Amino acid sequence: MIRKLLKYDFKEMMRFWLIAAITTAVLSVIGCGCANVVSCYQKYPEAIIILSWIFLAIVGLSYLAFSIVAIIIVFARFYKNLFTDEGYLTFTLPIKKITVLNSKIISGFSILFATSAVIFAEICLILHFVIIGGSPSDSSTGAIGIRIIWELINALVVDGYELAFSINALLVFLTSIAATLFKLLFIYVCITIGSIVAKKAKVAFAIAFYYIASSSFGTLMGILYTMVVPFLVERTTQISKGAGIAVGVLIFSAVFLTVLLGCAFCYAFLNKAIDRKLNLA
Amino acid sequence: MKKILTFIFVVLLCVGLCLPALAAAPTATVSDDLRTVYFNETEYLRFNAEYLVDDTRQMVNVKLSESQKTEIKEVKLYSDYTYCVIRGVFKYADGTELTAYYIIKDAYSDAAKIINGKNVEAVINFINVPDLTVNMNGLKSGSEESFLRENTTLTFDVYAYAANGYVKFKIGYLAVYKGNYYYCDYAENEENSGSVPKARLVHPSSDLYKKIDASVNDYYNTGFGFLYYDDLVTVIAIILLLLLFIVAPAVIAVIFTVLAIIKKGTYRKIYIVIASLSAALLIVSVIISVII
Repeated sequence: MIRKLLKYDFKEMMRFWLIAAITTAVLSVIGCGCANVVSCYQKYPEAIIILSWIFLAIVGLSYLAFSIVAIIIVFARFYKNLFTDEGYLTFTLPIKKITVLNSKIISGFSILFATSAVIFAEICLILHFVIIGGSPSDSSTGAIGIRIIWELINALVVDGYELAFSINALLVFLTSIAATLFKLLFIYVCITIGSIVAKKAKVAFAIAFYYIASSSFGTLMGILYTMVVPFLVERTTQISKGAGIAVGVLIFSAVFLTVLLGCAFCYAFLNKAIDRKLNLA
Repeated sequence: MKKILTFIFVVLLCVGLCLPALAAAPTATVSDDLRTVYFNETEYLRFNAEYLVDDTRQMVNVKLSESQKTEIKEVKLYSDYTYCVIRGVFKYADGTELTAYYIIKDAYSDAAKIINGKNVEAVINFINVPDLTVNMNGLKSGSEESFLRENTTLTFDVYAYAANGYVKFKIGYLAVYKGNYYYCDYAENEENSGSVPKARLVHPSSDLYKKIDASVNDYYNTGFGFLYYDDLVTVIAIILLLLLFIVAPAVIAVIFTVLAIIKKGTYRKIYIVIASLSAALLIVSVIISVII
């Protein structure tokens, strides 16, 4: 049954998402030409250079707009499908409530992940057309986006500790995915609390709750960052290089596990809240 | 359950892969007279102390006899990307203990200091002039007679702390040359990049010297954590870390294990996941706290 739920979730969300994705893709393709123009600025008139910069700014703004559209699509779908009149129909389906929730998590996460992937790919595409040295025949041209990222990664590798670095890189990637999932679940929790507690203006209440919760969380993270991070850095510099790198890997693991734990808590809460507290009558 | 076990296995595998890095921690030994330091793994980093002076800049001799040498309790190398610190505890026949900290910056034999000796308190200085000039933002030394050559007896890097107290900047160095104190400021020399570094004579009673000297002492006192636990912020940080990464996961693991045993159905699986994640976090946090 989850397949059918996913099918209709994606069908509903993809309508707007695809339009936004195609729009940014078209703008990015034109942006590639503009990137080429601004990197070979001595060849073109000043007016064309200025227009190219303006267009590149528009492309940048379109990425921002695309991200916002994707977020709105995901959370509007969750709210509309579960907590409005449409929700009454949803919960009359002969399926478990947890299946409905799982469908929303999978579809929402897929959309957010796909949005990030599309934007990343489009930025790489534009960077690919940036010419360093001003000459198309220059050896430094081509695949600059990928090369810059690869060189940045290589700069972080400490000789002799490639394995530890690879594990750290994998953990950072997994943590960023888990953090996206946590953010999604956390906003779902806020929407659920807003819809359960408030009789009217549920969306406003959900936004207020999200603001309060994220501010508190941000303050806690700020305290942790200003106090704990310098302490850890200070302590890590006193141990051997090998042990320091091992501690680094363990700290990344701890962060990853903490984010996963946060996801598990949000998931448990959503299940409880939707299963017990939902009253559509 | 199979997936959870797989996840725990992967976590343990990652932890296991880190252990060889721990085992590969480099070590160092010192000669009887404490003037030569040998690195076991990197033999090229062997260097000699030209002078052995006490904290009043007077020459002293410290020598370990054969019997004393066997009583060396600990010679250990601590290092990060910028500093190497070798900590050696030497026990004398008369019961005197001497703790030596050789601080080597930027992998160069720059300066080292012996502190905490009950009867002997000395400063060891490693002079390596070309390396020092390389450290000075690439400034080149002009002639053999230029400042900071073989007759220089002692140098210290001078640091200034940023307002937050954590970030420190290297602003220059203090040198002792034929009994006089000289201060070389990086900012002043950067303006004349490429020329011979210039240093100005500072009198020990001058305010500038006192300021520099205090800066040097601050650096040695706080840079490597000798007084670290006196810091209130550190105490708060440790409490926060304990609460968030040791106490909280332990409590969560216990509560959700009990709930997983009591409950049945879908929630049981969720509770098992939460308990497993908390337990894994607890294990990782305990290993980190043991290492650091």
